[in-house]
Amino acid sequence: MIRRCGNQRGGALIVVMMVGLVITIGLAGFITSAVLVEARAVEGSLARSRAYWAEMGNFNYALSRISKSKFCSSCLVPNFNIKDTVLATNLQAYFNELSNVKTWTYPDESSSYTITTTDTAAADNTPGRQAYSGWIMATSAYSSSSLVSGLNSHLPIMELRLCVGLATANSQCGNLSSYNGGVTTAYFSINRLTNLPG
Amino acid sequence: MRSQRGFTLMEVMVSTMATAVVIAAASAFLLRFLGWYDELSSRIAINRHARETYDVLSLGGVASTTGNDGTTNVYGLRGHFAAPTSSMRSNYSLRYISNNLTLTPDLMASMSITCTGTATPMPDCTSGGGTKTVKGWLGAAVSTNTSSRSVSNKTMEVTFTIMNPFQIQRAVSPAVFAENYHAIFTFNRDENDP
Repeated sequence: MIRRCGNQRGGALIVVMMVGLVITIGLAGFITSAVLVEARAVEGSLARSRAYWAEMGNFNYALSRISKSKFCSSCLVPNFNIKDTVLATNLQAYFNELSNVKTWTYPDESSSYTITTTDTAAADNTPGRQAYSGWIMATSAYSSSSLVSGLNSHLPIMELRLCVGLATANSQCGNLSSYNGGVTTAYFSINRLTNLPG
Repeated sequence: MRSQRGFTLMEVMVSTMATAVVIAAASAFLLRFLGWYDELSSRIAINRHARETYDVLSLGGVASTTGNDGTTNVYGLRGHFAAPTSSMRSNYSLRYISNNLTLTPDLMASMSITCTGTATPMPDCTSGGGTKTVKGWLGAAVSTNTSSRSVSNKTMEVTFTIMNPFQIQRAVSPAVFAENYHAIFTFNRDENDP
């Protein structure tokens, strides 16, 4: 049987295989170093946005409740000479009304993907505050599922400082170290909205 | 011995030609692949810098020194009362000022890029625009708009352009390595900014 050497040519195949190898190595490196990192970063950014809007939703609800109920003025009689600590207790009660909707689930991500927000109200902790200044604050914290727990230090913990009991909607805060009446009205002024470092 | 015979001239020529054709095609694809690699990795880097810009603009940050209100807070636009008056770009790098504190979170080693035409290679280049000192990824000045498409004094539209300064200066099509971003931020603060 006669076999022609021409049937055994493989030079071109070697070149093609080498090029394929280079492309495969490059693609694998690219996917590992860039695409996966990017996917993780996008997930983190998405989690941050979700946490931020969940916490802002809580703040907006509480502020809306202040406007609506005037800090439950019928509950606080008389509605003057009310200490900041008492005002903070009422603000906390508004946050507590959200107890059934403070856990946000994202079943499209995973059944165990959750972000839970917790809000704590208090009298403003700035040194020198007068007991009846009307300055109170709220801080949001959260707990998350294991799917996003690696991002805990990057999620925006929010802090809101406001003064309440203002005479009109356009009034601004009185001095923090002054007696401002300790009154309850529908009006407030946001003095500071901050994301705390994680 | 017949199995050890060599090739005829014609066989060698044909195989050489076939190999050359394969190498040419493979090389063209390899070069195109490297181009895709540059574009994709650049797009990823641009998106990463855009996210960082969004984060700083919206949430601000914390400085090592105290500002006008005695805190180290650099308030983001969401914690502002009004639009910042200072420029948000310096030498093509993000520079965000609030509470008399300055954040420059995205600085890199300085490089010089020469403008060769309108929007070439960088988006804000003009014809004969000279050589620019580049220390960041902001391809054009950050523009703010508090009137149209914004609620007066309550929201602000921000437009910025992120470019890849490393790729854009050597690209045949520089526009591939720049991207525009738009966002509308709400001012949540009711008191004057410190």
